[in-house]
Amino acid sequence: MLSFKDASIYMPLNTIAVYWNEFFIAFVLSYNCLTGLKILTSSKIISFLISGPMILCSYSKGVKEFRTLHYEFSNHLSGEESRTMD
Amino acid sequence: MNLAIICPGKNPEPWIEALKSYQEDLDIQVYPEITEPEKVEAVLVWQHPKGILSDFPNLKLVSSMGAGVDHILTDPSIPAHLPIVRIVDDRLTWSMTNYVVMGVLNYHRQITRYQKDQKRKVWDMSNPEIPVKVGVMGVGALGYDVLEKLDFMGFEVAGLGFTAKENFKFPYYTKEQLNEFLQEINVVVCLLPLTKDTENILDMEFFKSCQKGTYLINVARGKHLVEEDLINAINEGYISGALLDVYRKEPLPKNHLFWDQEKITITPHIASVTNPKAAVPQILENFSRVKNNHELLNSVDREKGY
Repeated sequence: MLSFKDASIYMPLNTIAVYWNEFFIAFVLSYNCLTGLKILTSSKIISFLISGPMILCSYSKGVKEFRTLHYEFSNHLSGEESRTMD
Repeated sequence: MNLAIICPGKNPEPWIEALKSYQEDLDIQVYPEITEPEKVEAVLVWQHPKGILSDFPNLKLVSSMGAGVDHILTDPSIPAHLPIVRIVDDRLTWSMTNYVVMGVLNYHRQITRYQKDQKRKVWDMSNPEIPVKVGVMGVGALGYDVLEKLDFMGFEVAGLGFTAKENFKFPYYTKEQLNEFLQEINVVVCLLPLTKDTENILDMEFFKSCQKGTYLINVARGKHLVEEDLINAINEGYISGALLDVYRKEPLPKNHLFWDQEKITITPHIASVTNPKAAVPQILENFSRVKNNHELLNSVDREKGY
């Protein structure tokens, strides 16, 4: 899998494609590949579709922001909610 | 020591203020604005993004921002050698015990029933007290305090834990004696840590093993309870009602069945909340201990899961 750092050597268009690909792979992995896809709810699919453009927009701010979004979206997909500290 | 606070979606300011009030020169970086990850030696975390701790090559300590550590232990990327500690705070224990005592007294003296009677202008003096024997599942700092306070108030109590204990002050049962424990009590309080052994423990099989009409108080974690099973158990009479503070999904979705259950009282995960000012001294003490290679306070056993 291409790393985020490797992606910076590509032309902008390619980079966007690589970032998207990276995100998609992470997305699929987080759902244990094909078996996980079966349990996707429509709201999660919508979240996924919305997050794509958000991630592309964040590219201009650099890799760090992308990773932040990626992490937080992964947590969202894993069902973690913001919970009381106790 | 350089510290990073990682608590997405939570306000880190009270923590920063509390930490600085004790140690003004503490270097604190806050996620996601962590610019020097190589300097970070300790992290304070609550529901951190999984995998992020591998960004800190010099990390020496992971501290939960609460008593629970299930949010940490579900991250498989944390190296095995890295110590994990949690908060054990008297104030948090006090709040939790008060909440459970409130739940037990409310059930015992049926305040909900009298509130309904008042609305209907009904004067019903029958059966003013429900006899109660309380079983507490999980006898750590929180569970033990609940047992002590209820015992002091004159209630019969019993505890259940997952490890054998000698000379325990109260009647004690292990998980192998769960059925026997459930037959002894009619109010069950769940204060277990969330581990692979305890997840979904409050299911239909559990409810069927209870004395008929047992009352449930769950103040541990939402994932202990199979929520549909509770509704079915109440409908079928195995359980008389429940007081719940934690849920599988929080905030509880607007369309969740619990909102409309007359026999289930819900509160929005407020039984006890970590107070940064109360928690910071032990966090700083652990920073000092990890630097000096001393034994840590409130260490987490990863095998046990708490």
